[in-house]
Amino acid sequence: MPLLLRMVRENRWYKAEAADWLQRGDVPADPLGDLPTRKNQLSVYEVMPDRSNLERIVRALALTKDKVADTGFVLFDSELLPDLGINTSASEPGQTPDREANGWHRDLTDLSGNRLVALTRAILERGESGTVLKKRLTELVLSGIAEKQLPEKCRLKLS
Amino acid sequence: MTIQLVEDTAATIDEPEAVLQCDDSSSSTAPEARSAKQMQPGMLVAALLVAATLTAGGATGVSGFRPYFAPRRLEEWTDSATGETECSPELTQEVRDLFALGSSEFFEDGLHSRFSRALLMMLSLHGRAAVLAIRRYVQSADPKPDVVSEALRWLADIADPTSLPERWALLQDALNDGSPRVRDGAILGFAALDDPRALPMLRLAREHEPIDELRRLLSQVMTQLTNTEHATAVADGSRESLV
Repeated sequence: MPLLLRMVRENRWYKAEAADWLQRGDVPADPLGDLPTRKNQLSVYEVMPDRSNLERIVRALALTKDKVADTGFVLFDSELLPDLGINTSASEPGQTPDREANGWHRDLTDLSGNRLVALTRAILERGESGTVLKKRLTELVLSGIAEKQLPEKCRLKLS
Repeated sequence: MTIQLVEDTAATIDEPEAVLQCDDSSSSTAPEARSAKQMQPGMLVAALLVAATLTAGGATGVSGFRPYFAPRRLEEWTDSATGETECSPELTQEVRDLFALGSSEFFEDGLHSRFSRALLMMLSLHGRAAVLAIRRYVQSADPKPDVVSEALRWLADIADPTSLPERWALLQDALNDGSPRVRDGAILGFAALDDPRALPMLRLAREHEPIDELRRLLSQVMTQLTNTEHATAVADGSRESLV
């Protein structure tokens, strides 16, 4: 089963900080801010099991922001979803400047408040987090422009 | 007024400008009036005398602290931001208001916020004095860790050599903060500075860091800085072989 990636601020997802909440059968509220839904759906991206497209997805997502910066993410196995009653849809492509990355876009559907909290809990317990540094992303953007994976205008997001 | 203007004036007269900026900040003078080129002759002479004193090892100790260019300058390093320069009450209040503004915001990577825009404007207008005021506020008040973390990311990412010692000192403080989120901002701040002189400090921080994710982040940043150090050494060697 593939992995799913969601862009977040990593420092809201530290497992040690969440441990007390999870032991009490609860979850901290801060991570929920990184999971905003629209029409009860949450946008995520599918990462290959060997993670070969992970940096490309983070690069694509970083380019949707005001400027390329250190970019955090959480990663979790899609196998977690059926137990949470959450479905996945691939009907809508992503909205990033990288067309190929847009094809890896997925929506988590039928999300209720309870399911969102359960998903947060599952990610904190069994997922992982990371950050791609700005300097690395800058290299990736420049190489993406050179290889025509990204339009030239993406250069404007570098500063 | 942009950060670029501060860089331009700094590039013109280097360290004396740093002194002038900080002194002027206490009277909330408009930044344009702080350029040495536009100062009264008497003030300029006085400022240059102060600068000469500092260059010889004076109070703020700005001398010897330069942006990272080459390994040979490692020995020039001094931890110099003593924070002895006075900050105006107005600037102190501005910083307080700024952090109050930030406490109501939700920050996302790569996205500007009202807080980040106001912070960058303050740094552009007040330079070193603003960083000093922020450092003192962070030390003396109890600001929200999210806001401090956000501030560290942005203020490390500006290209202003004149305020580098103060920004470095602020990041160094934050690296030992009790809040993991503040430490996160400090680590990412050092990544933005991309200065290999931070390596020993980051190595020590990693030894004592209890949060797994932060230890991993420290390793990432250390790898980046080590690569920067090697790349600079190679470039330096190439230049020397051409001479």
